[in-house]
Amino acid sequence: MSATRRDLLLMTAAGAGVGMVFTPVPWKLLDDVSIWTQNWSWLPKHPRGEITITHTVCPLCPAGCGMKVRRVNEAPFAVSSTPGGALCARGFAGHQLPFHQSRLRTALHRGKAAPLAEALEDAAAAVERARRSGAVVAVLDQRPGRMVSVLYRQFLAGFPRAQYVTLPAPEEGTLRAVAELTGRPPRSLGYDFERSRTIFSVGAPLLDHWGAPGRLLRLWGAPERKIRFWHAASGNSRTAALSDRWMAIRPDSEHALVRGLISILIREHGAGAGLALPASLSAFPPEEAAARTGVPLAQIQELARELATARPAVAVGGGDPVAGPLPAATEQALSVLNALLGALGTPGGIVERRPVPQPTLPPGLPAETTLARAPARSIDVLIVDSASSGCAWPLELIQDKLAPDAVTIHLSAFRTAWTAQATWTLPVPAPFEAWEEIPETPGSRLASWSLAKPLFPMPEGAISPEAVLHRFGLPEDQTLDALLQAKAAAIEKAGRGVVRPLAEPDESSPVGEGLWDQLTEGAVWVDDPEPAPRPLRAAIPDLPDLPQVASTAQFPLLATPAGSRGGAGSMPSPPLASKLTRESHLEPAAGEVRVHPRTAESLGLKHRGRAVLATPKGETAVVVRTDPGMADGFVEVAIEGDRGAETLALFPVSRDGAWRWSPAQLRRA
Amino acid sequence: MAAQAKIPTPPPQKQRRYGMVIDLDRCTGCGACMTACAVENNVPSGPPEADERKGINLMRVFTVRERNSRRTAFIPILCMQCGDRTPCETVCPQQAVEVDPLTGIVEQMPQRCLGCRYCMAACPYQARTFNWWDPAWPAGMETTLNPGVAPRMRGVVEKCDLCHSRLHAAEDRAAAEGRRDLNPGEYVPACVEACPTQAIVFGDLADKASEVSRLAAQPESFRWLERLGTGPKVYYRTRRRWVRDLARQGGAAPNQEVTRG
Amino acid sequence: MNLRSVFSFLAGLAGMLALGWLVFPAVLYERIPQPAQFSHQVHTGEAGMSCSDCHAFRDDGSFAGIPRLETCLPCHTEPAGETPQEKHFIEAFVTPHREVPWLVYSRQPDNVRFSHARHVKVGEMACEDCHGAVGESARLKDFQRNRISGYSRDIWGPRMLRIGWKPGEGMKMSDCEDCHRQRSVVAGCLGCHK
Repeated sequence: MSATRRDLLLMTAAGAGVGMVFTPVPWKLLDDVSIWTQNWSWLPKHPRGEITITHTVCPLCPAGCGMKVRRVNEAPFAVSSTPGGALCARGFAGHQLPFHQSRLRTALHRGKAAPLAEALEDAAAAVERARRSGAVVAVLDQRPGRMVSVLYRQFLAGFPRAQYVTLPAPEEGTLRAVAELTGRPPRSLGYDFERSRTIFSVGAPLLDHWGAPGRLLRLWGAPERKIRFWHAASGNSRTAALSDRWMAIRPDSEHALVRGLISILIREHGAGAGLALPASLSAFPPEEAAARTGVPLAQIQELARELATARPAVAVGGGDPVAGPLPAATEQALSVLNALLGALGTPGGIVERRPVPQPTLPPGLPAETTLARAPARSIDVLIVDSASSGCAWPLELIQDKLAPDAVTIHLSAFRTAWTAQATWTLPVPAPFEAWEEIPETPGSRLASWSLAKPLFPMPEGAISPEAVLHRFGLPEDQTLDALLQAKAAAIEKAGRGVVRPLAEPDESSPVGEGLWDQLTEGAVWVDDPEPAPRPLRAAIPDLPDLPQVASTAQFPLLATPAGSRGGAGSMPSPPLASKLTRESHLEPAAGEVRVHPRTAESLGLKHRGRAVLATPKGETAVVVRTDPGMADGFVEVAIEGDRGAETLALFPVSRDGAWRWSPAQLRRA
Repeated sequence: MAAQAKIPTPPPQKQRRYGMVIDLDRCTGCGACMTACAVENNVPSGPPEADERKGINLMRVFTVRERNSRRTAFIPILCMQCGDRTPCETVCPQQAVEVDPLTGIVEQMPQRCLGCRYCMAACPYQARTFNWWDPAWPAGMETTLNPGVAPRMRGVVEKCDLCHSRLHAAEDRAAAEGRRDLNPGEYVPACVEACPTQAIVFGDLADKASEVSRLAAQPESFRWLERLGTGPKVYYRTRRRWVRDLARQGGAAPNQEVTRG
Repeated sequence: MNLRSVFSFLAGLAGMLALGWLVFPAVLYERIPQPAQFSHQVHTGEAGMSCSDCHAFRDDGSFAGIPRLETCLPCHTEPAGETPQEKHFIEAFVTPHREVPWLVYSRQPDNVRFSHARHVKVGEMACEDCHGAVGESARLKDFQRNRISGYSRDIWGPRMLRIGWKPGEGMKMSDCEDCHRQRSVVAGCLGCHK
């Protein structure tokens, strides 16, 4: 029997098969394929290289916390606090912000991409037209007190009609009211918490991310702490959880509580002796405060007793990063309360902050007006600076001040609800891509100054605010660098304060030559404290009563915006920070509302169920979370993420620029 | 072999049992530890669908409320580094989990993991998360990844390993000085360093003189679900009795309860 | 079973052996020439340098690996010799001040942690124990990249079946483990992984 061709082929294959076992083919393939499955080629590769450390300050909000940055090949990959500092959850992920998905890489014209050169030319032409026609040109600055703020004012000085408008940090709400009461300039006061014994916050999230977060957390977490924290607010915030006493007052009853306290302090504790007090202050019945706040009278009396006896005591209002300032009347009442507590200009109270030595500035710079005080429909051309205060503001607040057909020029590194509305948006460097100046922290009693270093090079296609101003007609010889150096020279000349290297804050040295180099290398200048605070004199005014926001049959609930610093506003949150908020619910997560389970039940809503939140100004889809810590009949609306600005727009803005409460309705979707 | 005779056998390394004590009365729920942890360990921010069930959290701070009251506590939960009968280790069919004999750290090897998620079911602390998506970062952001931590792939489980990259870096620094063993305080995980109120004390539980051993031995200290006998090396402490009771029962408030996977 | 069948079998066998031993390795690995040439021999011999003159530790104990261009500059801003390789190196990299994108033969994947400091400074090992006689090489061989795993050929080593493997001939996990076992140095998974 002879072998067929088929048999021969089979034999060849068999030979190859046997031979294969003695070659590397099967064994090597097995190994390589298994390695491939363990290290998929499309997985991102981490960088390799030398690790260096840079000390600088965080530019994300006015707190300017110290940060130690670990970098690989110059790119930052992780940050931590400097000794004695306390970065917030956002600060730890802030260096990822330049990569945010809403990062702007081109200019925008009415929300649509446009070439930068073209947008810059058109915007400059609009500014030039305004200069010639005498239209009102304004700059909106969320971080007044910087040298770039001075540059903006120098720019505005070149216009026949100009306004320098600020949206200062809300932490200073009560301080502004006290400044008015005592006739001090704005931003000249601070809290002397370190020497207080009782700190009473009215809706101020003192232990969330208020002011410089590390300052209050250090006081709160001090071993054998002497300071007692009282907190009055409707929301079950972290401050509520961490305070020694939390008075869960009814929504929108802050004013009544403060009036009640003033009345009890005068009637029962003889507060304000020696001051000329209008009779109406003690005429406010404490029972009404109890009725309106829903807190037993005895508890309000207990608080009044503690404020009167455990001194120094200080009352802090406002400062909520998304719920905005308290109504002006409430802040005024709080400033009167502080006067009655003897907290004005005394250790442990509200004290004067010495102004930073400033270089001599040319005369004729426009004065500062807060946005709420700017006349309605008065601005023809508005330039909005990119630096964020970390707080959210309703767009309505700005729109009300714009004349019909106004031109808005937004300097922004990100696409936001604001840039969607702007006539032109010019892409500026993101945080960490350019030098940023950090003047004193809101609420601090000592002036300070530091410079945040760029950790990334400025990207192609971005333009610095200074270059924009030069393009818009600011003389080229007026530069930010010159102003900053002049400020450093002025501080050197004054010889005040100490320089604390961020790497070793304990090794501070008195101010001497070379302050500029020390600051750029990574140090903070901190002013010397005044030996003893000067008492601040105040004429106590009559306080108007403030009507509460009324709920109606259609809108039976009261809603308030809730969120944390840096979570909303003119800058997005770092992606990791939003992720963790979304997944942990430590902070209100985007698109959610929180209500008491009873409220939810009465409305037929379930935990994690979908609902529609409606206010007189509109409605939005939300997800419900129930929380037994909430007051009944009260809705806390998260202002976070992409839809934050849209949701905040549901809250009506009162004439004095407050948007804390709105009647609302919540129904099943 | 002749060559082998020369091979020096170094003395055995010091046995450590890394652990921590978290003071719940000092935890403010600020979330700094979570962000610092995620940044340190190259955790991507994930797609918008990543929620409390599917998101990657090596450390998560839970909010718990006392029943019928408004009292709140914040409880950071991470891998408890169980020392006895480590539940995840015993169920792993792949030997992807191991208790390091040198450090006591429960180690998870993502490259070995098959993704069966037995360990997630076995873990009584819900300290493990599953990678539902491939890690992805916006263009250019890979340059900001931690060079000491490899990104994990889709389909594997991961968990806290007490910032191993920091242990590696500390070992390298010590080795540069010719030391094999670490001095106390040379190695701390990112969460410990990030805490603004220093609520977390970290150290070697095998070293009886260490601060962490001293605190762990105090009557105010306890471990989560101690009755299971898993021997965690993460201790908690609080003066609040209701929080301690909660630890014994082992449950979060109903609306905060989370199931994963 | 006839002779033709046996021949067929042997032909298949021989064909496969040739394929597996000669063609397969050539196909599996992609050869990439280094961007510039370098002679370890010249530098360690004539120039009298040691490994650590270029491959140095940083202060934090991490290992710098392949030196950056700045290490070469002190001697090579002007040609030190007359070789065309050096001329190319200076023209392509030194003059434009461009880093050389060296291909690293012993590059481990991202999930491997290898501490040079612990092996060299604490374990007192020599470079050659793992890297072999790189220091005596006269020229840089082509980098061989595995087309499936992307790893360097040097991780697996020159011997395709790793029979008769000698230290310095490969850096697979099993090689690390063998050495650790011989020296009774224990490490958990994450001692060497990250």
